[in-house]
Amino acid sequence: MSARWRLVLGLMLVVASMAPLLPLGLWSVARGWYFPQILPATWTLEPWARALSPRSDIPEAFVTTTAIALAAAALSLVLGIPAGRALGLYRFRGKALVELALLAPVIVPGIAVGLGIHGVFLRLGLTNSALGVVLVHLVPTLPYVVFVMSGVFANYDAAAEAQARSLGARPLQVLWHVMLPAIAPGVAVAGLFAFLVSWSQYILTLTIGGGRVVTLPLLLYAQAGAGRNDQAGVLAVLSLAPGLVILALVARRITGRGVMIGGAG
Amino acid sequence: MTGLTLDRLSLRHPGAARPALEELSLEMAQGEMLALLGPSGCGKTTALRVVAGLIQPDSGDVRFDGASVLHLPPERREAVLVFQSGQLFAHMDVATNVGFGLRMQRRPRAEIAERVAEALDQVQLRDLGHRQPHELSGGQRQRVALARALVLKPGLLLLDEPLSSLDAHLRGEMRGLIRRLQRETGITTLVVTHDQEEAAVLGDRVALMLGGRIRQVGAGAALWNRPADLDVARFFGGCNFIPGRSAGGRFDCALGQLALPPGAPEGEGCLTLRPEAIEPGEGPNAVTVQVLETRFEGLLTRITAEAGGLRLEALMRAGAARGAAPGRALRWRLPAEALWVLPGV
Amino acid sequence: MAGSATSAIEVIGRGHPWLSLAPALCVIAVLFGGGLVLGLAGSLGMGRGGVSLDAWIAVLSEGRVWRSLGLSLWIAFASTALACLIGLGAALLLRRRFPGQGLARLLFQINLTIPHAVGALGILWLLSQSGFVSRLSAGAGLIDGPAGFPALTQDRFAIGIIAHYVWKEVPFIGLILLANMQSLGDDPESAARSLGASPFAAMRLVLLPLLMPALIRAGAIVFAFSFGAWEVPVLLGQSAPVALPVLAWQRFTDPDLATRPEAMAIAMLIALVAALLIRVAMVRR
Repeated sequence: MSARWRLVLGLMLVVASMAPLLPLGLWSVARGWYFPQILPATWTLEPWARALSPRSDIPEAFVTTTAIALAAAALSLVLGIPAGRALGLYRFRGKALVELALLAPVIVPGIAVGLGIHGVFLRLGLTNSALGVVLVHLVPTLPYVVFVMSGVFANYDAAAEAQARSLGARPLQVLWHVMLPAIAPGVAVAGLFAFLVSWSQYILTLTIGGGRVVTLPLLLYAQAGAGRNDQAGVLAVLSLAPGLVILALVARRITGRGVMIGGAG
Repeated sequence: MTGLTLDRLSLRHPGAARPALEELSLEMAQGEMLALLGPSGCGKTTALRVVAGLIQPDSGDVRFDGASVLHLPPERREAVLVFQSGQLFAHMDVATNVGFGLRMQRRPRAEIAERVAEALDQVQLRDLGHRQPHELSGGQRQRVALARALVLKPGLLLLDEPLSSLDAHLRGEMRGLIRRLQRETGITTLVVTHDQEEAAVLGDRVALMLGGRIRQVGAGAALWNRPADLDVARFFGGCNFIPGRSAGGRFDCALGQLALPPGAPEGEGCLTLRPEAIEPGEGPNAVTVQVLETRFEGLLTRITAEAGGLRLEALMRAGAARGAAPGRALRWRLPAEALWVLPGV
Repeated sequence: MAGSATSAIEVIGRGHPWLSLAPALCVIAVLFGGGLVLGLAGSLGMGRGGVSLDAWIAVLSEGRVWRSLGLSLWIAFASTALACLIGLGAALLLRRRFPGQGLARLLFQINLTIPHAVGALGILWLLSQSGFVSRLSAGAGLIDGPAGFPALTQDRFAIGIIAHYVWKEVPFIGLILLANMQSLGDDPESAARSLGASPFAAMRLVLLPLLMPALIRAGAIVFAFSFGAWEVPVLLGQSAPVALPVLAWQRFTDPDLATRPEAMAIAMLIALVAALLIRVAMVRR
């Protein structure tokens, strides 16, 4: 295929990828955009002003969503880095089973387990609380971190740790001066995408949060359902933002394996 | 059987500082086995891929039996490339791998089966047709890759470092197999290697490639003993270089007048001789040297000595090296037939 | 148990890998395993005194459930097939150099980061009868009004839903295949070409079979997601029949608490399909 054809097809691919984002952005700066107007008759920043005003519930939802995603990402890292290390460095009996157990939550749809988890959390008093939402978000985020980190550790030379010990470093010093610098880029990617996975959750948030914990995706559907397209447009653009920032940060580091686990959801 | 001509091939990989091929020219006769020798990164694999049609050169020509093949895609060239890693297709068993090329030619099934069996026989893997590639040893994989090429009876066989992925003891065996098969089939074969010994054993002729161009072509011994220039001499481990002047079959230098072999170039130049050619004792071309250092290198001992303000290095067997202790004066003979003059250096 | 791990590796976390795995496994066991077990228990009416198969019998004998299952399977099959096909094409396209390739690759990845809820809304506003494409068609004089535009969202064939999944998952499939192509390199195809294969034959007989394991795994993930996601069909689907996850949610949130076991049974049905997928595509044989 000639370079020109590749360019044309590549362009089509990019246009198709971007197309659904166009109306979202347009609605966020439009007033009274009726059929058959192709572009809004009136351009305005009013939807943004309204969305960011003190009476709007969007700023609070933004903070809630961010806080939950940060907490879920941090918890996933704390739990997932040791697990990823074990999977990446060791071979042991039952490893395939462990990998399967950690992969299953990625495949099994949220609603299939969410309803049951609701039962668990009801008994623990965790429903309708942000803490409960953070915990339930671990179901999709933790496997993702584990698999990214096991990939990172598979390419990590643990002999460097033995060398450091032999040079007089204590275990904690080894952890801090040898292991962490080596895995830091992987940790960053895993953490950022865990953040993103949590940020995008809908049905698990709704199931456990019971509508009391209001995140951006929930508001998005509420506003769209109520026909307030301008507010929904603002919410959509806000929801896109972290993903674009993170992509710009890590574009070069996206690996097939990372995509494998985190991309679909 | 195809004769091969490479005519002033040049190629620069995108973004590379130096060209991979620079005006590279080479002639191969029909049925010849030629070893393309060079250090890693000298462009020899690139040259092989250009011949196979996998890379287009920036300029120059590739001719099979005198006819340019540059416009032909790889599948329509009479050349078959055997990759360094063998590149067996992991999802096919051995027989399917070997039969791949015939299948591409849409040969009848029965013929494919027959010829595959024959080819596996040739490489002594008769009963392994149903194995999967991952069930084979490194040597077996390499032989399957060879069979997969040979079964096509190509006009030109291109081997990329066929022995480099093998253990030392397998190399000798594989080397013998390649030589024998080449003799039997008479297929023109271009084999790329970085190993001098391998090049000398495999090639009827050896072509030394340095920095994207062919520096010298000839029988293996000629490259060792009659290097064309300093770089070639250094590549083959030459370490004695004595500046002076060659005239009338004698070489004038700081060591005095040395007799040269017939046919040595005339004029200003550099005398070179291999360290293992130096012999202890009196005779023609004998010089007095002062031993500086001796180093035991297993089979041989390397003796560094000084004579007429020049350093000389000799490699001698233990018996011959006896008596060479630092500080002692010795007589060394520089046999005329081992001397060679690099003109104009 | 620490099998063939070398001693050098045991400097930190001396001893068992299980020790490092335990916290993560516990969390997954409690949340994921607990969720499944309680879901199953709930579907059997446990916690309401006694065990009964009433909910399962009710669910499995109900035509609506089967229609929803059929719809969800259709959505999943169509989305997966199209995403794999287009994703493969995109990967083949993007692996070779052309001007603007770097930018195209970057833009290609953007979809990965977009929440499904946002993408679904974008598709709705793009493809609905008063959406952007419809307006463009009206502008071009192809249709007179919204009614003249074909129903592409909330339609019988779930076109909008499928369009969303294809839009979102093509980059996912494409990037996985690109990563695999990168690690395979050009040599397998080059070897095939040198043995006499045309470019197309080299791709079909050598490259594709080598990519197949990755494609099957990625396809299984796409299938599971498009089968079980709630936020996409709830926005882009028609009101009856609804996709299976939407039906489960309807039963779960029904004011009549008696329908909860049925919701759990449907959730288990979804989990069962996912389990089958794992068995077929994920377990190494």
